[in-house]
Amino acid sequence: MTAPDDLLLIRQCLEGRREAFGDLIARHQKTVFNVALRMIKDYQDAQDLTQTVFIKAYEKLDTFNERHKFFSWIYRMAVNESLNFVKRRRRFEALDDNAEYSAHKQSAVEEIEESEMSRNIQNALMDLAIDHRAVIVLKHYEELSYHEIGYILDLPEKTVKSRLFTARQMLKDIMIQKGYLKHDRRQIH
Amino acid sequence: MIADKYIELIHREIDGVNSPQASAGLKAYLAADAEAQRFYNELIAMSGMLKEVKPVEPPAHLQPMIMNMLPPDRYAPRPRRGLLATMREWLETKFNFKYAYVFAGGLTMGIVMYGLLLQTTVQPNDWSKLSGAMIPREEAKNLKTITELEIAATEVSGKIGVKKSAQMVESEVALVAGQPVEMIIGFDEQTMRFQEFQALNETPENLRVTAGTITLRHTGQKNYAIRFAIKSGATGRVEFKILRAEKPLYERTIFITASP
Repeated sequence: MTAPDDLLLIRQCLEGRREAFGDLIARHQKTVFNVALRMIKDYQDAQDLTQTVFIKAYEKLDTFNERHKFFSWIYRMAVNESLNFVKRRRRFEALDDNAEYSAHKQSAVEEIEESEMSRNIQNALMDLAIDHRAVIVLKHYEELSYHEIGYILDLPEKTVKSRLFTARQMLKDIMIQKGYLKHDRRQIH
Repeated sequence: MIADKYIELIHREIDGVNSPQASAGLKAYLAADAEAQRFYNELIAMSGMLKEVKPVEPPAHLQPMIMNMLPPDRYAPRPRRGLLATMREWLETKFNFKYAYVFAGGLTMGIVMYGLLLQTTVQPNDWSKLSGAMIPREEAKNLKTITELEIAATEVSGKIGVKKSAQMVESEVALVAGQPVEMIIGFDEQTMRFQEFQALNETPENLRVTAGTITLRHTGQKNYAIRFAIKSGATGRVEFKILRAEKPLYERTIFITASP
């Protein structure tokens, strides 16, 4: 169920008080922005995507089911938008061999002031398939339960678990391969 | 080769959803299997690294930018709602039901405590427990007998003793009646004020005190003491009537002057 404050803001918004939606954005924009950023890596694209998610949420607010949590609903939109964005970008990159787009994106990445470790993890994440990346982001960054991830990705809990376990092992192997994570040899005889 | 069962347990351990028993079982397995221990250590290290990643702050202009892009007339303002609708919304959204449970619990406790206390407090019609409540003890010592009346009717017998002091009048009534009788004690409200009724052995039935009159139903053998305050130096009237089925059996009026 949605937190009382979110529900109140949603109702006020549906009654025509636009500022109430501003409060909802203020409350959830950081989460949506970070999900987008971890999914697509680009700071500028994450902003655009956050913007798209909130505008769509506003337009569909009258269809929101009060039995769900608002943040789960908005996560769901953020993840879906991210998946669509990645698919679109893949098509775009396949059509355009020109390196200009990638160069622009590379400079955009530099806008984020993050530690080297964070950048390494982000690089490793980007080597995962988008579906696997989504479960890692939702579990490890957003600390959601299997059940919540299931709702957001529209998957049964069992599938969430198996996908998460696979994604985690793959990410570990990528990080070891790239030298970001040390291969543990302490216990090997 | 790590068994699938333990791979799942390792992942669940990382997610913090294993039961204490499952955790203990896993720890024992890891202690005995070097490959599993290595796998677990690597996943734990990676999970720790992911935890270290701090969320990035979105740009400050993001919220106003989104607000500017919202369609202007998507949700038209609705007319103001009444008090009931507002209260209903408040109950549905803001009201925390745990406070209602606490209130209900407190109320129940209060009712139970009140009930328990009530059992030990003086009941309004339990006059036998009122002795000494209102009359100063010193005044009772100064009482002197002024008359003793004999009651010797066909259906009721007994005695009425009347005592007085400077501020007090006391009537002691001892009645014997085989059938229920009604005793009415009238007094002059101008000069006297009822203060106390005391059943000396048994509580009377149906005791009623109204302005200027004390009425009780009597059966068997019982003694009562009725006390009045009297204005110093004034003369007061006390009237004793005993009735059976509204038929007078005994009637006597006495006048008392409070001696200073």
